[in-house]
Order: sequence, then C-alpha cells, then structure tokens
Amino acid sequence: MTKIIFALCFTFASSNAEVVVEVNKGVMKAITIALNINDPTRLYERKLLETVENDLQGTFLFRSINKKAFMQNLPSVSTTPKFSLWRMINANYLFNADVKIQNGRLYVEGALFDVLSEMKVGKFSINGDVRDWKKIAHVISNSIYARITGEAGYFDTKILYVQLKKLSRGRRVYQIAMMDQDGDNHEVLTRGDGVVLTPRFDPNGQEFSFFHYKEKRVNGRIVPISGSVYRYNLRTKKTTLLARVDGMTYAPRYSPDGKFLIFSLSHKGSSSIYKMELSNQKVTRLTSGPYIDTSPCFSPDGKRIVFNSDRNGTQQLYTMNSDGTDIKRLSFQNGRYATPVWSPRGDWIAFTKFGYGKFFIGIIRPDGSGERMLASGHLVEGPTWSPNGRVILYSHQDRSKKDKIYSVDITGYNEHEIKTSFDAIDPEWGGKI
Amino acid sequence: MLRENDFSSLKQQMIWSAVLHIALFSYGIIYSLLPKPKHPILVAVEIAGEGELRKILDANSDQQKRIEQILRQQSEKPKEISESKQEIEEKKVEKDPNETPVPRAKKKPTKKQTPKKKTPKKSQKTMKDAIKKVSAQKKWRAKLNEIAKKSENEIKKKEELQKKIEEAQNAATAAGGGMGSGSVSAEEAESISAQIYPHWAVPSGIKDAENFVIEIRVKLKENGEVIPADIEILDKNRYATDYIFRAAADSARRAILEASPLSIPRDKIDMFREFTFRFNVKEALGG
Repeated sequence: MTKIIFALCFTFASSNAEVVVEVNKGVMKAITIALNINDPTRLYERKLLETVENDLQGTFLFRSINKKAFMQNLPSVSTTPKFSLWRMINANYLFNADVKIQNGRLYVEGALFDVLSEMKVGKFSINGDVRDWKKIAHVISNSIYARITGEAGYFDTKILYVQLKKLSRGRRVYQIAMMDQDGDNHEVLTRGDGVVLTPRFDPNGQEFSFFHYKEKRVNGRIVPISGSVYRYNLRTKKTTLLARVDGMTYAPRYSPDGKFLIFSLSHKGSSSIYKMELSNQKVTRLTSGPYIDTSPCFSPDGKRIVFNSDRNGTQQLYTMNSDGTDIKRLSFQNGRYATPVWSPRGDWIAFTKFGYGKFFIGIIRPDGSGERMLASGHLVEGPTWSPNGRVILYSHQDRSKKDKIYSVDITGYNEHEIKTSFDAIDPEWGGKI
Repeated sequence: MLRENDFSSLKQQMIWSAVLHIALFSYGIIYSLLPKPKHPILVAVEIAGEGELRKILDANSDQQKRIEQILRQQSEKPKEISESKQEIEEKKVEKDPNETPVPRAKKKPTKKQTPKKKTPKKSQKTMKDAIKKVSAQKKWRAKLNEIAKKSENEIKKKEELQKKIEEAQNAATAAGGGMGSGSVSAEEAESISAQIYPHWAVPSGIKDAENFVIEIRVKLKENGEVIPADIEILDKNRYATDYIFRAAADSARRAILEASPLSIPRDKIDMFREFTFRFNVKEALGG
C-alpha cells in the first residue's frame, strides 16, 4: 500500500496550562482487518470470506490479513479475543462470525472489534436464503464498511451498461446488460435490434429507462430514425414504451422522487431540456433558445438540475432550478464539459471534459469550487456514481479501440477495470441485488 | 633472574621446563575459566545516559564483574587504557551541555589510576608467582568492588548536581520568559506530532470531512505509553450522532494508539502526562 504524505506539518506551542499538539499531516494507508468466519458445515465459510475480502479490499480502504498469520483461534462469535495477539499481527479491526444453516436458510451472527482500543464496536445479525449466500456476504461487507467508515456500503448494488459486440463489416450489436458491482452475475436484458443507449435506473432500482432507436440504410449510409424512450421492469423483465416524442431524445433521467423524467430533445439544430410527468405524460419545456442544452441531471434533493450548454460559446456546465429558472454557470475553465452527474451525496458533480487533446473525468462542487480531475485517457467519458457517492465508474477506450468500464475512487486513487466479456460502454450504477 | 648456572644436569632442566609449562598452562586455564565481560563497561558508559547508567549500576554483581574485567585489562596495558579513560571522562563531561565544568570530573582519572599503580606487577615465570597472581586477583576483586561503589556515589553526586543545574535553568527560563510561552516549545510539540502523523490514515473522500477538527485528550504513563482507556474524544455528542465524524475520530485514535509509546522530551515528562491532540483534517488534506 503506497503511503502518500499530504501537506507540510505546522505545529505551535501552547499557552501556560494546557498542552495542545496539532497534527496537520497524515498518510494514505489502508485499515487492516482480520476476518474470521466459523461454519461447522464448512460449505460457506470460504465463499463468504472470499466475497467479503474482495469487497473490502476492492475499495482500497481496507486490507485483509492472511488467516495464516492469526495467533488466536476464535471458535465462536462469543469468544473474547486476546487483543494483544491481534495487535501483534497489525490488525486494526477484527471481525468474527458464526454461520448456521437451518431449513434452507443461512444465519450469520457477527461481531466487530476495535483491536487497538480493545473493545467491541459492532454486532451484526444477517439471514437469508442459502442460495443468496453471495448477497448475504455483500450485506456483511456493507455492515463492516458502514461501521468503520461511517458511510453506507454499496457492495450489494448492480451496474447497468451497454454491451457492444463488434462484428465483421462494421456491424455492431447493442444490448443492455446488468451485473453485480463486483462483475458477477452477468445477464443480458435486451434483444439487440437497433441501438440502445443510456440505461438509467429509477430511484427505486426496480426498473430502468433507456433510449432506443432503429437504424436504416439510406443511400448507402446508415442513418438513425426517430427513437423512443423505453422502460424495462427488472421484476417482470418486460419492456414498455415510456414516451414517444417528436424529434430525437437523449439521455433520459429520473427525478429523485421517481415522478418525472428529464431529457433533452433536439429539434432543427438546437436542443433543449424537457421534463415529463410520468403519470400523465405531460411534457414541460425547461430551457429554450438556439443552443445545445443536453445531459440534464437532478440533484439528490430534486431542487436543482445540472446540464451542459454551449450558450456562452463553449460547452460548459450550468445549474438551474427544477422548473427551469435561475440558470447559473458552473464551470469556467478551458475545454468542453459534458455529461454532468450529481453525486447521490449531493456534494460533488462529476463530468466528462475534453481539453488539451485528452479526455478527463473530473469532479466539481455545486458552487463551482474544488474542480479536479480524477482520470484521464485517450477516451474517457460518461461518469456514474456509486450510491454512496465515493466511487465513479466511466467508459474508457484505449488506443486499441476496446471499450471498457473503469472505476476510480473520489480521491483519484484505485483506478481499475471492471472486467466484462465484450466491449462495454455507458455504465450506470444503482439498484440493489 | 637467571638460574641456569644452578642447573647442572639435563634431567634438572627438563624438570624445571615441565614445571614452567605446567605453570603456564594452569595460568592459561585459570584465566580462561574466569568470567569474561560480555559488554565492556567502558562502552556501556559511553553510550548510555546517566539515568541508564544508574540502572546498570543497580544491577549488582554482573556489573562489578565487568568493572573488574576491564580494570584487569587496564592493569595489563595501563598507559593506553588510562588515556582512553581520560577521553571517555572528558566525553562524559562534554555530553552535558547544561552542565558547567565540574572540577571533580577531571580528578576522576587520577583517582582511578592510583589503585592501578598499586597493583603489583609480578613475574609469571615461577609456579609460585602464578599461584600468587591468582590470590592477588581475589584481592583485586575486593578492591574493585570498592571502586565500583565509589563510582556509583560519584555518579549519583553528578546527577544531583545536574538536577540542581536544570532546576536553576528552568527557574531562569520561567522568570526570563524563555521560548514562546515558556512551557512547551514549538520543536517539542512538533516532535510529538511527528510521531503521530505516519500512523494517521487521513479520512479523505468523505463528505465534509475537510471541516473536521478532532480534539482528543490523552494520558500517558511514565514511559510515554498512552493509556487506551483514558483516551477521550472531546466532542462526545458529535461522536455519538455523526457517524462520519466518528470514523474520522476513530482514525485519529488509532493513530495515537499505534504510535504509543511516545518519546517525550525527558525534561518535560510532567507537562505531557495529560495533554490534548488536535487533528486537523483540512490541513492534512492540503486545504
């Protein structure tokens, strides 16, 4: 684990009675955790442990200690740990759990200990169908993550994306696919006729909307013919038409309360942002003018919308109220800004930027401050947030023209690929397993 | 003292030769059987501070044996060792910046040299001489115990004197204002902070963590060890309700416990028995 030292230390003396020592410097280092699971049947021990280990270590915030280093056996969740023995192997935390299988159900009782402070800091009780053992493991990871970092875990979430099969003679097959956040349980959801883009979860994670258009050969060229926004119900696995609107619609997104859909509609060279009430299909125009306004996204409280527009000459980010009023410019740097996405935590907006001949994934605060780039590449675009606002997925195309999905932490660290069988673009994070 | 004239026959010569060989071998055996110093005391004295030297001297017979061995070595090479001893005495004096030159220190080498001069240098050529030597060594041991006690006393006196000087200095510093407010200097606080920061996993990337300032009160034992049960996060209410603050405070507490035991400037141990850490997340993240 690389240790990075931040700012310069600055300490000063105290006055008379009370001595105060300022610590203004730190390092980036992983929290070490020892994981122990007792399963009398031995069937699920390794599977659960591996899943939890991969979940936690995948965040780069945690490092799991090898079981071979353990100096104390913990045969039961109620065994009191000898903290000095765990401190000796450099464990910051210890997780010990018992597993029981009864009537086709898996029961897990766990305890989390702070080794250095020598106290128990968490108690967990999880159960579910035995076949859902992996989901149970993800819930264990969530619990440990939440107790230690103070933020909700996201290990039981799903990722939607567009699977792209590149065939001979330039033919391509676009299909919407879904997988667990760790790349497991992959399934393809749509047939593959036409082009599908921008799958977007609804706030409940029960369905998603996407844009679909058909292509036609006209005079030897492939041209898109008007497409529509569809909704796919994850439970019934049925696709229904969400809206048919005149003109090309792009990038539909749900409002946080699930009642509205916002999208951009292009017409005669310009593009404006529209809002549609799902219950009655009533459409309201939010922006107007001879501009290209596109890629709208709601804030998590539903009060503001961020979008990109070229109304000031270059493609920049703007925010406005949910009714279209009070349009304010957000970004001011050189370059072209696109695909803004508001963090579910509300404290950052992620975007794609093109500048200096390269693409970037960056974040900026809703007040316009703190702009910084997290990832760059030959072609990176289309960020999407983890439900706890700490990790971003995006599309990445390397020079060999392979499309992949990459992940990066909000601190800019832990950039890595999420492996898929075929080329993948347009990731969307949300939904529960 | 050649007595070859008295040896008339070959037989006699051979007998005397055998006797001398036996004497030499027995001396060698006796010498090798005597306990050898593991750590020459001169080296220990050089490296150790006076406090540690006191601890060393408190450990009875081992120490005295070491003193014996080295002084025995000195007797075989009186000139070299007395010189090096002088150097060492001088080094001891130099090491203490607070201490004003004490005339007593300079006298030390001469005092210790006189017993060396008294020890008789005897010829090892006869069996009798060898036996006498062994008994003389026993006498040496008794004398060396005396010397060890004397050196202990001298070191104690030196310590007391040093304490007096320190107190006088502290009084002067307090009266005169000293550095800053006179209690803890910036360097001293920084030396404590420098022990903590390599262990502090700064909570980056969590919402609004940049505005956190975590104040933690700690209590230390004499040896600088942090007492885990007495670590107190001052904003208890926030710790109980704000889970993100709790995570940040936990990271600070972990850093303190990992860094324990802390090295505290010896003269300020009392000031640091109970004090407060202030972890500034914003500064640590470069804000």
